[in-house]
Amino acid sequence: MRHMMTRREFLAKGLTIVSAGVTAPMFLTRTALALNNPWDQSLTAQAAGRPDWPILVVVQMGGGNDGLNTIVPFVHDEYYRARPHLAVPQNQLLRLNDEVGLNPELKPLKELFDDGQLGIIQGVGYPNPNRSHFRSMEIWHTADPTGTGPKTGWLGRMFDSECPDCGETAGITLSPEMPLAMQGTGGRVVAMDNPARFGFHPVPGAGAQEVEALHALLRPVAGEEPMVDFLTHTEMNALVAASDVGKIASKIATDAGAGYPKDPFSQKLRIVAELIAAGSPTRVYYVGLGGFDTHAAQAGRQDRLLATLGAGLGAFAGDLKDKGLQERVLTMTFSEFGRRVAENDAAGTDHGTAAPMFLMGGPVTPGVHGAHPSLTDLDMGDLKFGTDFRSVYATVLEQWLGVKSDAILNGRFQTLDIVKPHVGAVAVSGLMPGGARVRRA
Amino acid sequence: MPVALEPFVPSSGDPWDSQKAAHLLRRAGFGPLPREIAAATAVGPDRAVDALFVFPPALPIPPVALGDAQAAEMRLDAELELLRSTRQRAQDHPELRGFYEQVNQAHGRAIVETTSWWLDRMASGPAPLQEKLVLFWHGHFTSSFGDVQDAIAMYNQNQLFRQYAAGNFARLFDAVARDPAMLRYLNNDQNQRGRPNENWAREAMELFTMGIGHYTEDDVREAARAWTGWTVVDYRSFQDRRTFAFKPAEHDGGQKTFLGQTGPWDGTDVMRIILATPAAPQWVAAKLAKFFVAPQPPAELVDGLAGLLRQSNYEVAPVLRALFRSRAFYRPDVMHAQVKSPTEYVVGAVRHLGIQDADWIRLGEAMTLMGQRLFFPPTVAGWDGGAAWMNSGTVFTRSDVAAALLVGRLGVPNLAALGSPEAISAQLLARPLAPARQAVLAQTSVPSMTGVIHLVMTLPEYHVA
Repeated sequence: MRHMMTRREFLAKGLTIVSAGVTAPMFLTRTALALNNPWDQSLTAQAAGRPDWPILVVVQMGGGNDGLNTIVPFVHDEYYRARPHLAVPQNQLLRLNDEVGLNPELKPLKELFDDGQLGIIQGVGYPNPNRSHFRSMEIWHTADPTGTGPKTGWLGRMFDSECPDCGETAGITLSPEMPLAMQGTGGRVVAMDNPARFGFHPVPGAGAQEVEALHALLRPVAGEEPMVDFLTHTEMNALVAASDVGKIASKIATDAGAGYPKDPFSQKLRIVAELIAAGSPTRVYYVGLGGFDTHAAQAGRQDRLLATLGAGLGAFAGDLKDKGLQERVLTMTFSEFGRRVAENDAAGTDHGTAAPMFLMGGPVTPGVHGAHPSLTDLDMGDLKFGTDFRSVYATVLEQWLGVKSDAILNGRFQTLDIVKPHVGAVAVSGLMPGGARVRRA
Repeated sequence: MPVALEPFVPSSGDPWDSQKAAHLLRRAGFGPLPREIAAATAVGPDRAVDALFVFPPALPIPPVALGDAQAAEMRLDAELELLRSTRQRAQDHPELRGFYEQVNQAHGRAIVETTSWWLDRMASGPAPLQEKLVLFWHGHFTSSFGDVQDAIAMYNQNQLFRQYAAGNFARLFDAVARDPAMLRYLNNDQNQRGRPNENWAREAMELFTMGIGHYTEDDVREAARAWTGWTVVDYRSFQDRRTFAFKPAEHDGGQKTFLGQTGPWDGTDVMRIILATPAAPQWVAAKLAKFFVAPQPPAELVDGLAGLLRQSNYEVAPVLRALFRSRAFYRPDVMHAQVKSPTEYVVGAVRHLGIQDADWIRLGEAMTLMGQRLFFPPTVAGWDGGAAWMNSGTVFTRSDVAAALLVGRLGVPNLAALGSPEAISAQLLARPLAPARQAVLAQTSVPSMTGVIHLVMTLPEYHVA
């Protein structure tokens, strides 16, 4: 059985605005304020008409994917000289143009490329590259190479400033950990592995009374320790999110899954497609594939990972197309860094710098964008970046999600011709009157 | 003793009470029970702390499944030896695939059983602090079975952490640098003269001893050269692959300049130079404080612990003793500043509910969904901990696991001691609840006692430590 209060009931029963004497964090006040927003209903309830806000799916390739063996610069002899054991022979490559070819494990992406559904941005990085996984991942998540700004994520800041009324499920990550990129001050992001199981389940026999008691217990208490206070709000937000997801989960087809491989990565993408199709008000989905830290015996391992990536993304693209959603969903991949040009003697590669990113979906400007980084003009054995990743973020924010990027990225970054301008689409803030920013025609 | 570590002296205004005793036992162990809290309260802080450091003299006997894995290895090794003796190549014998498959499967079962074996020690072993420190070192000197693929090597590393639990950090660092699971996890087994692999060298500095900002990229390269030749005996047999060897022929004996000092350094020298920097004790003290004190421990406390670590030549026990006896450790803003890790939540819940024959295999799987799969740290930086444990997904998973434990799906609970809502919150939380919440619990109309226990185990106050 599933007793779920509506968001409105919950807020009325469990929260009754913030009482005096309790310092509520930002996100709580915002949740309370959303109550009074007359437009809120149109977002949480399934409004008549088809939802058409843009959706971003971020795919994180954790560990530092070797870009040179992903988009292979076959025309340059330096590549083959630097990689006597690891180089992919030219005749195995899936040729993209006169300079580069895709790793043969990425065949599904080649089909998308030929179909005009795939863009590749070469040589993406940032100044003074950091070769630590953690620091570099943090840089990509915060969009702050200096490390001096707030420890919030670029998507989290986007939710905070541009999407205050996107509900408690503005961002969903299909993992137990919440990526820093999604964290803002609003806390309106959800981590889950399965929408059907997501929620509070009372013990048998306790039923609705236990659910009711939990709501009563979670009323904020004045003067609590900060961690108890934080957990109170985390649990409360989780209940609201579960109520939202519960409405969606019931619509998800149980026989779904045809066409997707069985691995966890592909299955997460399947769930994303189902959530989108079921009308979840979510704007950003986050899916991870890890294990790219190939210091030794890279060939078999990276091949397997790329095969997983390609098959999963290919199935996802096909599914979205079948569901008529391919024009609404932009998928973007990234990794914290590429790897050193020269292979090491364990037939692996060490931490490097610039690497390619994939953009997938109907909205992309297809093709290979940006110059391939030089294989001779290196920085300590590493590629020099040609495109700052914050330009890619700026483009995704402005061209796709329809929001201003300057404040989110703490600076002005040039947008790129990698996403097709799309006439008449609404911004990420969706159906918000007055808040909608129509993307440039 | 530095000011920040001045001892706690009980007084009539600020006595040694059951809340402080419970705090000590929670941080130094897993889910203390009422009788344990009562005993620690009765003996006073000094003896309560002393009792924590009584570790059993011998290491525990290994889980049985490791023997099965070894047997499978020996069958494969015998086949390979036979081929070698008749000068045949393994790749010409596809029937060997079955032997390899058996080895992989046996190791897969063995790591699951080793996880259960360890969780059971946390719940019912003789030295909770020792196991807590094994967990700490596992999150500090990380290795993952996902990369190592050898349950026996992971078990050996786990025993190494137990052996050095509160011992000497410098000796532990040296032992980890020679540990086959670590050598494989961070690829130093591939680090050879003229073909350096800098993975271990970098993480040894960045995550294990100093932190970013105290060395340069050149230092990483030079340290990697110094550690060349630190590898395993051979890859011909599984036993050899689990045995450290220093191979002079693969070692780069040339001059290196590391952290400003020039010489023909090897790994031992690099570790000596690292440990002599002020950054190293500071880093290790901060990691200990983050684990045992608070996600953002007070800076002066970290400084005090770092000073002690330096004075004691990296002995960990005196540092932890001073911490557990300090007034700072019992400050109100420290007492409930931690979030229980999934390990603490699950092991504590099993203890609190008196679960007999807990199904550790399924509990271990549930811990994966909570964000902590033992022997599979997510990255070489281990687990973030603190507030990062809790989000909308993990909150519900914890609550689901509590429900499964309560209704007996993961072992037989004994709830006899938990008679009333008051007793439940007193025994599970070992702290007063805010009056408003206590009132809701007291007046609840939840029809079953398990429902009330489940509510308490879902409360924010139950998730903090």
